[in-house]
Amino acid sequence: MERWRREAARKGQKPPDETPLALAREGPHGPVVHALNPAAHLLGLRSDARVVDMRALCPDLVVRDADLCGDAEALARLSNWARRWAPWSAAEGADGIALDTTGSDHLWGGEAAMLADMEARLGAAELSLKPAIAPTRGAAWALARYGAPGARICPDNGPDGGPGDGIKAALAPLPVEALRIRPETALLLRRLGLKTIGRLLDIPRAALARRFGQDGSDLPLRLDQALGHVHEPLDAPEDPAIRLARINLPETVQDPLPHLPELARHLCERLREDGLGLRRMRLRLYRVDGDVRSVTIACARASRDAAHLLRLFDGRLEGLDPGCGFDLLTLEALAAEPLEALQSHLYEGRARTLPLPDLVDRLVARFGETAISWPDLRESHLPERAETAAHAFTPAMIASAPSVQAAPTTALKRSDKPNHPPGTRPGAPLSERPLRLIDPPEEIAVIYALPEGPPLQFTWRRRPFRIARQQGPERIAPEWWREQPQARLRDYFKIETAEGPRFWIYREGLHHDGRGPAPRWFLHGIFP
Amino acid sequence: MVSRKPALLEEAAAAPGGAGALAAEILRRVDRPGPLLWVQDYASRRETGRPCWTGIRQITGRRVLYVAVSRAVDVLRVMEEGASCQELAAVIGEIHGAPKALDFVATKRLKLRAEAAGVPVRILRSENTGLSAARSRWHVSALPSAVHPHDPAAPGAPHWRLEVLRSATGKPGSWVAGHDGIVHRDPKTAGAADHLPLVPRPRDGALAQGGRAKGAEAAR
Repeated sequence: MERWRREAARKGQKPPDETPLALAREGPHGPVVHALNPAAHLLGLRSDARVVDMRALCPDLVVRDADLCGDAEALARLSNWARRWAPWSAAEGADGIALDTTGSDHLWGGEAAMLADMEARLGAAELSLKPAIAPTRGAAWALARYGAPGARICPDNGPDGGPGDGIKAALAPLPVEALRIRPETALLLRRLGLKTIGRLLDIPRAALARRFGQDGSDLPLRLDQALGHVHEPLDAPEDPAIRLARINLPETVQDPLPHLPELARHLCERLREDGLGLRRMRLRLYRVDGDVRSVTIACARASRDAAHLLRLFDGRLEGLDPGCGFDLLTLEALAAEPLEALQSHLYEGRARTLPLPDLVDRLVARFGETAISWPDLRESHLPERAETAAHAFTPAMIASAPSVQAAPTTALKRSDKPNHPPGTRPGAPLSERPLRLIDPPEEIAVIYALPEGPPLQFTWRRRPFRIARQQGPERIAPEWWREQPQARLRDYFKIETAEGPRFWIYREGLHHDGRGPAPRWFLHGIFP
Repeated sequence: MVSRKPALLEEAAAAPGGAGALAAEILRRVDRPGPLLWVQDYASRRETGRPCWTGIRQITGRRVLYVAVSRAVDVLRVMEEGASCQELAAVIGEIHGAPKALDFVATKRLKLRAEAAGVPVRILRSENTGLSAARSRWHVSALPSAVHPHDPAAPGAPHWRLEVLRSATGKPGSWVAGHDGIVHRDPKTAGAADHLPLVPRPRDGALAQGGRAKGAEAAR
């Protein structure tokens, strides 16, 4: 909820605090409430209830979609950040962070001081939290979620000195749900009259295990975990590897270019140690006045060749405004892939020729991803839809497979090659297609003898053309499954003008087809 | 235009309406394995259209790396990068008009790059003006096609006129070229598919002499 509020405030769409607001997630029977703001809590709304029920209670409830994936990511980041207090941390469930503070609380001046520091720092980040410290993970979980505000720290030893009694004393007043048991087990316990953990602890453990251990219930295990009879280690994920090279400049520079080779060399050395190659990297230039400029570069195949990576920045740094100058440069690997060490030549000299993936990298870095493509065909009769563009980094296209030598089709024979190399799928149409496509088609003014036949003369770009020969029509119907109902068919003609050029023209629609005014003519392509 | 040393940088211009003929002419003359690099500037995309990949697939099954840039100077930059990549079969760049960037220095740079890597580079233009370091210079225009074997009203096998305006290896000349649209699948005649049936232009004195000689050479 806090994360959502901050996002909304940044977008300037945050509703006032007094408006009851709920974040909804998808439930089995329609949306359910995922989180509520304080105003909604005051009105008596509950989490995990259905949105329609809560709307009935409070008609002016504002409902927004919850971003569960974003929450999980934010929680993972936060749990990494929480390693400032203790080295082992992990996200727990959807809303918790577990920290193993063994041996680190004295660094903060005791457990109470550490909790105060947590509350202060997370409070400064506008996050609400309920921290608790206990000798076992289960007890800490229970105290954090169900404990009274005053009892956040659970001593190891009880008042009368027995080890483990402290936990029992702290957990005794809490409800049975605090044991992390399944809801159906908790419901059963409540029906049996066992509402607090204290009542549960009074029952001999053997009897409990006999009653609840049979049908797969997790009650005995959870109870043992909370009391510390069963060890429950914290599975802390490893620190995310930071592959970053940085240069801290003693004086500001206007032109960062001379420092790039050193940066790239450092980053590539680090990648070589890990056996990785770059797919995407980001250069960030920190200005003295606190502004940051960044340039992101992508590669078609993993690379840790500093010279190649440097070439990709050619021309990308010209438009950056240095202001008063840059004082810190960082080069960060955003995406890396395993890359085997390859020896390309017997001698370690640089090859004179440029590999195709490197060429694609350079073109994409210079002109952007949208300008470069591998055109391909797909099954469609509409000429402009029959062509697709594969992304410049499509591996099948870049792979240095031998391409077909001979043309696969003739004017009337479909290719009968059994296997097609990558990027050369079948699909060339049966009838002849032009070599140039005017995109979009240009309207032409025509003079015709018969409304259904080919024209006698047409004017394209203010030049008149007299038609000497014609072939057609080739009728291409609109694809009814994806177009508007009013889409009109096309009648394509291959025509030859008196001077020689051959064009591909079409009439859009028919006379009296009930789909609009008199059909228009377009010039769509140029034949050889 | 078969010469002992292949002309690596060639410039060709199309008459209005001859852009399709020019593309066919260039495509059929690519004889190296590998993908093509095809780069166009904005003006040629607008004036003569973009390559139609379905039509090109009917001529050649090669992969094409297509780059659409806005200015002529960017076309030259892409071509320079492409000319040093030996995996490419050819680099085809289209530049409309006679921009300042396309001068002798730029074409000389391209030529040196192409000769260092051995990649054929073709510049497709809309007009034949300005200085150029290209080893040969062409002009292509469409001619009325042959008679269609089945339909007298329809255009048949295409014919076009090739004019060599300048050539470092041979004499200038003028030919009528065409293609019957048949792909030679027989390995014995497969080599013939790479060559155009060059027909001497009828009733053309001096040029036809050179043309016949060249045509005979090409047919071999």
